[in-house]
Amino acid sequence: MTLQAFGGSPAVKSQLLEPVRVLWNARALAPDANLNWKSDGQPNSISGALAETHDRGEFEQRTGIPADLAQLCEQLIAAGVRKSEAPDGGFSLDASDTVLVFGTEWLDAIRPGVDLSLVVPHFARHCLDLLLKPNFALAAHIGADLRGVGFQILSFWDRELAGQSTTRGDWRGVQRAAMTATAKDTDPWSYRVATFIEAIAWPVQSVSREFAGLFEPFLFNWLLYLETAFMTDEERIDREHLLRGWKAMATAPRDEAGNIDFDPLESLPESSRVISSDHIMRTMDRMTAVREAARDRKDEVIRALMNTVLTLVDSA
Amino acid sequence: MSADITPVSDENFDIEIGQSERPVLIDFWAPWCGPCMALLPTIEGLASVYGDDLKVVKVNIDENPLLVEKFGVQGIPNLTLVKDGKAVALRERTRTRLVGEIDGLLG
Repeated sequence: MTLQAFGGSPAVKSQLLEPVRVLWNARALAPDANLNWKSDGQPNSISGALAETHDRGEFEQRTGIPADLAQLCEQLIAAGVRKSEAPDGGFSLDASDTVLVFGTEWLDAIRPGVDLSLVVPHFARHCLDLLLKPNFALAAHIGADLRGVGFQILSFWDRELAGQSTTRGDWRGVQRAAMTATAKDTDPWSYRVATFIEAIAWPVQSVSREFAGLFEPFLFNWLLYLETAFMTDEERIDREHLLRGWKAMATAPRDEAGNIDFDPLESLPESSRVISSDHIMRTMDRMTAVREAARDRKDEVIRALMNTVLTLVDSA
Repeated sequence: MSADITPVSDENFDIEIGQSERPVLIDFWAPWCGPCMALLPTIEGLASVYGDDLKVVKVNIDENPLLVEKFGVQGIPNLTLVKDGKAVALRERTRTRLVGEIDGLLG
């Protein structure tokens, strides 16, 4: 079924959007990649409030907007926002205006009646192309095997977006190569890149519904990397230990209940040190200062991604 | 791309899973579970990958305590593959890895 944004009606757009604008301008909504609407303990998200639902199907039926696009937009905002609990039990959002304005900017950009189903697939293609460029922030950490897999995926996606077909066999080869490249990879900064590339090794239109969830850890890792420009050498090394520790915990074998029955950090004493609450407490002020120093650089990345979404929405 | 995922309950378990001639992938979930909701598009993607070769169902754990007990579900999201009457809990969580794991079990 083809979706028509706002059912093709400017009146519907206004009816849905204007109450959300009031709530968003009052900072009474919290951007979230999940559609939050009257969820236990969670403030409403922008998209949840737009369609007054937490259900993807209902969201699409009421707004004519693909839920994957809404989730991606909220995730981009959330990446640039620090949400903290307010003394009155509510919450407050701390972010630059260039990030916050996107809360309704992407909705304003949508023409009633437009079919937005290819916006996220084209955005996914843009991101993959970006990460394979030699000037990408993490380029030095992406190995040749992983890069090769990325280019294969990009080539298949281009064929698909041009209306040509790919077979399941084509994709199985790429998926196997991706898993092999991930297994061989040892650079602490590339683990999230590798798992991202591995997870998107599918036809791009089938990745679309999953994309926001897959992109989130990759973007987090990318933004985290930008902070290293404001760190001392020792802090940079500690951050690599932190990433090794996270990887060890993420990849540790688990039992059927999802529990790990040993300490994955036992063989990584430096990772264990930097993950300890003692270290985290001791370095908290300094890391807050680093995050603040890197904020403009991170906002630039987020804003560029938001602008890509707006361009794709505009050209849909 | 999305696929229908059949809701299964304590009442219709025998028809939908017990008597299924195809292997069945069960997604144990709950509406309050964020990671379960995040995994849903992946499950839908899996259903599309396997088509008629695999039946994909979901069980709301809040409403179906007998199935939770029957399959020994201790946490969610929980993905369990049932083939020839045997149930195996899946460990992977991305579509790429899950396909590898499921293919290995389906033989």
